Amino acid sequence: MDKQDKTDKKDKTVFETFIGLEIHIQLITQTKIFCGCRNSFGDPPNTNVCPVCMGYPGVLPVLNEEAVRKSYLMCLALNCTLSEKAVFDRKNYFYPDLPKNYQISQFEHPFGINGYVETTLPDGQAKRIRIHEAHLEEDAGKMIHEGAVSLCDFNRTGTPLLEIVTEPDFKSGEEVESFLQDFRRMIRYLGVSDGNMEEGSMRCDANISINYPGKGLGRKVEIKNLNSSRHVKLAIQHEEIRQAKMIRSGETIIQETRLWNEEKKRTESMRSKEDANDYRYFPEPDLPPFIPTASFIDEIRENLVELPHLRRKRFITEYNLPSETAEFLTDEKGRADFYESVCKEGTDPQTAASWVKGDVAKVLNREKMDITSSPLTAERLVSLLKILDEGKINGQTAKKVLDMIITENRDPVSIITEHSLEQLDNSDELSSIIDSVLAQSSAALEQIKSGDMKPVGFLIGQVMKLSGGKADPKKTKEMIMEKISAL
Amino acid sequence: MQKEELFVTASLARLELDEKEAEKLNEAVTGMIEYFSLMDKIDVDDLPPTTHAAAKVNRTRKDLPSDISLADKMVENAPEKEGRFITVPNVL
Repeated sequence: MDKQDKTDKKDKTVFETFIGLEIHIQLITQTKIFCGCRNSFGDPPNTNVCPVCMGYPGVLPVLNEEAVRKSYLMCLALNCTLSEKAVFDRKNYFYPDLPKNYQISQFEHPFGINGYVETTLPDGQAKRIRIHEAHLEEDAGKMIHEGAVSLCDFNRTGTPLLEIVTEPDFKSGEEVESFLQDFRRMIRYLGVSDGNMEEGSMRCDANISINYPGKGLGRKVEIKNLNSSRHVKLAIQHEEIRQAKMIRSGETIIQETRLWNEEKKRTESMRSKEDANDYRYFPEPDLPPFIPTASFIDEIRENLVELPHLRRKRFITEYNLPSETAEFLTDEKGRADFYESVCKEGTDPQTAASWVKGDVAKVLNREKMDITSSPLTAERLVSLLKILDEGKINGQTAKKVLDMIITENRDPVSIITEHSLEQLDNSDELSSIIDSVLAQSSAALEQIKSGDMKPVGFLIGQVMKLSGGKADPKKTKEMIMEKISAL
Repeated sequence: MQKEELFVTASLARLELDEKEAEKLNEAVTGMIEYFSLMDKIDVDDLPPTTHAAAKVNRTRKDLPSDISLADKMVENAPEKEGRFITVPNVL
């Protein structure tokens, strides 16, 4: 569709699109990047503030080692070359959301440069996206603009923010959308950020330019205010069309920053100040450089988990799963870990997959629970599936028990014992239930005797009903047939 | 120094300058810049840039919240506020 939109009826030129991203992720830490204030979302305004993050004179910022660790973990996951000596710089700008009047960031010597990351495009093709750099900086505060004033909340000021800059390797909004979903999954796997775009813990600006094919990059426009991967896609698609129209009508694209207007579904010029980009970077004198030692990097490397796209591939080959199932199971690390623990205990991978994807997901969704924090441990599911496999309960009962494990936080054995849910097989009890059903079903018996087997199903149903669902359907059928032939 | 540069610098520093003030300031700033440019005569070709006075590196702290909070006092000290928000003239 988007190729058609880019092509005017008279002018058949299809332009080439180049998109690069600047992704900001809020790192999960207890405290801010340079002070001991809490890094938490949703507290009353200006509760997590101190002289350091409020830019009082004479204070000394000290780097949070956890923010450093998580940054390096990301750099390793992004296959970056690590700076031998990382340096912090002051980026000077005046805006009330940053009371120091400068942001501490990294300019010339960021933690990591020249990396790459693999992504899967919507058509299933793998694509390598080059990473220009990853640098650590402090976030700014939040403002609400209301009438004559702007209300400032500095709780977010000074929280650790890692900025990842890609090369202009994306060709369309669809590519960017699916990349952002992969990227979000990756940062959640690594535990560096929760990647929530709506809450702003992952934010993305897009630089986009178009040009005649083979002519290289065009003049780029930066789009901000994109708070979901879908909006990133829509904004890029809109911008491609806008720029193509301008070029066709002989206009010059202005290098500027534009804001995505979610309601009107279009980008709008941000009236950028021409001189605003003179940030006068210089090395931050209050923070010494950081030199990662080999042992520090080795220690970080140990936390490098198998990334989601690799795990998905492995699930397909190792457990022989359809790609859609593998995708569902590896979407969240906790779910994939759970699945693998269940398999490790000897459960058949196909059975485990169909339960985790089916009834487990259904009950957890209904209860709005996450698999990692739900009462359903891998041990409990393994135990339930073993009891089912041994024929002690039937499939319907297993589903009921699963529900009770999750809602009552109990283990399957105690639930089955307490509600005496074990299947009746060739016990006397089952035999007597069948006898009483047969005694009341003379019409059905006549039919069966005359060779019409249809009522057998009805009889099994009656037995199941009378037994409270505990009868083993297979055994029941066998015994019914035995009893009828003996009549 | 060009006068336009002075106006750009002034606007970055959120300073309002009229022509007369600019005239006077331009003279002073030009003098200062010329004085600094004396340093250009020193040969630093073989010297790496000095960015920090002390040679210390890797100064970090543990990720632990501090026990003391000065937040209430700081909000109290703010010249203008609305509830716990600190207010400034609307910048949008």
